[in-house]
Amino acid sequence: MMRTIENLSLQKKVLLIVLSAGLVGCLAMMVASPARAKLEFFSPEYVAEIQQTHIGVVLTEQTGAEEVSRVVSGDDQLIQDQAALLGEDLDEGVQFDKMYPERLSVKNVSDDMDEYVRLTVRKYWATAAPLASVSADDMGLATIAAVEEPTSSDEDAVSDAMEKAAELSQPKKDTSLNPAHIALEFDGNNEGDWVFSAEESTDERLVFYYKQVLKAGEEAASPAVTGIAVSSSLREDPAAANGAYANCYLGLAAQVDSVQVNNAVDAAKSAWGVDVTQFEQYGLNWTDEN
Amino acid sequence: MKRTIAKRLGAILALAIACSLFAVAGTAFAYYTDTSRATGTLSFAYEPDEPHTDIEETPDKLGKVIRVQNTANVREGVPALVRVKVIYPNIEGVNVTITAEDGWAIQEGNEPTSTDGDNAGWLYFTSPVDPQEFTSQIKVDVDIPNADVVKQDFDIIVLQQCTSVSSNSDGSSVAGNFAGLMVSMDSLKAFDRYEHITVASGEGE
Repeated sequence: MMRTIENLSLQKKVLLIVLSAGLVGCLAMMVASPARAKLEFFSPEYVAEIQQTHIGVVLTEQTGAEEVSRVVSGDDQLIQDQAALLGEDLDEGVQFDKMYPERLSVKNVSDDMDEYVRLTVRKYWATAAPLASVSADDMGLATIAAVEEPTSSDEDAVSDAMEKAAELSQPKKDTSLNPAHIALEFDGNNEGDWVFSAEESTDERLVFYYKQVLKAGEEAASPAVTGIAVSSSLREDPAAANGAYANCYLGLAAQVDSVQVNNAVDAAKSAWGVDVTQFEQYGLNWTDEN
Repeated sequence: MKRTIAKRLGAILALAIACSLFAVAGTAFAYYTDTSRATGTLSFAYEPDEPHTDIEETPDKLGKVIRVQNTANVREGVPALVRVKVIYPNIEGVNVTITAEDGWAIQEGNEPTSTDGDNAGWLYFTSPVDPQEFTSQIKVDVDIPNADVVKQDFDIIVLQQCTSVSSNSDGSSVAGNFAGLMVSMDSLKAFDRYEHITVASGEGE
């Protein structure tokens, strides 16, 4: 091997030396890169402060006459305060064409990073089997019913069956019911703080982009969605005459996504597949941290 | 042979450099992003009622002014199609005039005479009436030029029927099934006035 190298021309030796040096340099970069965020040593004389950069965003909801918004996250968290939402209609239920105040917004919960945000709201109908209608077969109880002296395993089975019954009675999205009958109130003219993306929106899904940068720790200047209603168009739906809406649930699902402010246009394109520059005509400005 | 080894060595080094550069550059493709979700449901129930309507009659001299209200509950009620028939006496010396505001129509050839066949003489309100809303008015005027020649009592009777809104067979217009008769609102002729004039036997003598 050494002899082979010795027999090479000077030009080739130089080339090999350069390539070897390059490889060593690259490997050194790979090792050094993560070391930037690594505490090298600690002593009483020197204190190194390390700050972990974090970007964070949450949804906020303000229902009915509530004066301040609340952070909401997870299942069964939106439109849970029916008394606040429906007010005087709590006993009679949702009235057609009446807009109930339901404000959906976002908040930057980062300690130190500004961000740009997108809000996606889905509206849908859900149905559930009434608890009383869940059969013993559904719950897996058929084989236990005949047991006269239940053992602990039988009791566990009953407990499991009750959990299963509760699960079966949970509302589940019903795509046979028309989400167009659910109306959300928002600024469709894009005159406020949000841009409504008509191209990405459907009868079921509405997509909004916050026009400006959302500073660390701050909530959006105004909510993207301000109200929810059930349209009287539902009464003309043939399915309604057949009782399809006789026992159902109005469902709402919201998701907020955020991206960093540096190279935000590229970041949005990479993370969401959306070219946000198309919304610049409506006042969206994600090209600079403003 | 030596050249081949040198070439292979060079190629391996070049590949190693490329791989290490790619590994370093790869970290630059990551962006800071975050996501948060929430869901919720609200109980909702809608069981439509059958349409319910009622006549509102206001006396006007010897005649009356009529309109029909959809009396269904605003939330559970459904829009109703309405038809009205005015039954009046055919008595010599009693003249009856029926005048309707906009929105009323008749079937061609079925004038609002006093004949009481099942589907004869009905006036149809062509727009569906929403719960708690009214039709426009129908005015029935009774004129007795010579009271001396009219010796008997009489009544002006108003009948009304309603049905839910449906479409005609091709789905092109609003229609209603009135007592088994499917009536398309587009097929009706606008109605505004009908006069039933009689001549008393004593007149002109």
